[in-house]
Amino acid sequence: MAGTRRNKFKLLAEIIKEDTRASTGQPDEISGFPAVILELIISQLTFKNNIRASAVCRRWRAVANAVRKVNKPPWLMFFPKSGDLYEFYDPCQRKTYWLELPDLYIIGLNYRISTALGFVTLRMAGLLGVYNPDESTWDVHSVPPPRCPEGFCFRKWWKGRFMAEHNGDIFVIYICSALNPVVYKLDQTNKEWTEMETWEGTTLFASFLSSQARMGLNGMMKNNVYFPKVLYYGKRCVYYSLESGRYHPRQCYDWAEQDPHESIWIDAPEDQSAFL
Amino acid sequence: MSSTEAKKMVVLKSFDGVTFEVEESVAVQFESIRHMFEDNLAGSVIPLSNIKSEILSKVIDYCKRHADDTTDEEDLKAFDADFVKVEHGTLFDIIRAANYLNIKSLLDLTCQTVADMIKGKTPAEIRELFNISDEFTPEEEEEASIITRFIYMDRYADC
Repeated sequence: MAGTRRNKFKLLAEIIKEDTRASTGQPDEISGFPAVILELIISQLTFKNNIRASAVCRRWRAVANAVRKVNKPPWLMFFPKSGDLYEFYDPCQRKTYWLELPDLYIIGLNYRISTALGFVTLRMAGLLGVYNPDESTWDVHSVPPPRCPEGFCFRKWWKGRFMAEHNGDIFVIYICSALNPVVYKLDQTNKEWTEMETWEGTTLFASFLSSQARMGLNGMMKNNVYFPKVLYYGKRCVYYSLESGRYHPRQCYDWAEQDPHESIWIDAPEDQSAFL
Repeated sequence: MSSTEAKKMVVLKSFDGVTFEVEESVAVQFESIRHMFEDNLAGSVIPLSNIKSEILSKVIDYCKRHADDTTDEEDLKAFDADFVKVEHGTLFDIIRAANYLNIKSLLDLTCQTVADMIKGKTPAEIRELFNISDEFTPEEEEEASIITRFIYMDRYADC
């Protein structure tokens, strides 16, 4: 299998060598793309378009099916300054949706309060509170707080620290404007925070009100921290990539200047019909 | 990094032997070869044996624009929109180059462009667009026809 592929590459290289004119490319070159690129392309399609793509050829079917099954990233929901029109942003499809939600103001307010308290709270003093919604009780553990990165801005520190949970794992992200983000994961048996050198494919979505974590998202989204800021008129969500060790787009972001109550990451709706 | 310092240059050589002198601040966006010039300051030539000069010059052009902090967001958006208005073959070559050099934002932009081309098209239209031959076995063809029927219904629903 690998042998044939290598032969194909060799063949292609020879063809290019022979082709002295500026190449316009083979029209069917898309089939020769590595699966990872095809995956990136197909992962940006909506459900309907994904189904269509899966009937193109065998290779596309395999990729489209695999993409459909993976975890969906959360959406960013912006609270309107006035009125009932809410903006939603899907970081995978890079699509903005608007939805009128007349009764959400109160829900929104409640949600803010409950998330401000936190499903899990962490105090600088090192107390970790875990809320059990079934019994309406709090469990408090004594866990020394993660080592604060040098240069971390203590003024408005609460704006630069995010906590996320995924499948029982708890993550804390420290952000400060001039430095790269530092991510800690709670070692639940030893009750201590360990700095994550590799993120093992984790994707974090940080926002002041609620942060989320996902595993096994599509290639492009792995090992990134996404921030609640959408640039280029909805074309790109600001993220930090561990692999390249920098923010995309490359800029200096002062998170302390952001309005913390502007947006929130929510689970992507199962049924998107209301948003189409 | 102060601006008074002489700008470090990196020399890249394309598949067809054309050399490009690029500022290091631009070349740092080439994640996969970054270590080569960061370790080696002697200014040696970095060969990129699978990228043609035509494509490499486009990629460098893109990175130059995106390395410039002073560029206004709207201008950059217009530049990006213009940048991907190329023939399919060229676009695919840029995708391959962006993948090889690991330039995330460029890979992002170009893959999004291809995804936009696919959107709203039937499988037959997609096959025609990219000149893909379907290689389904009779059983798979049967399965595909079920999917097509589903899509057919779905098309009516769209009307």
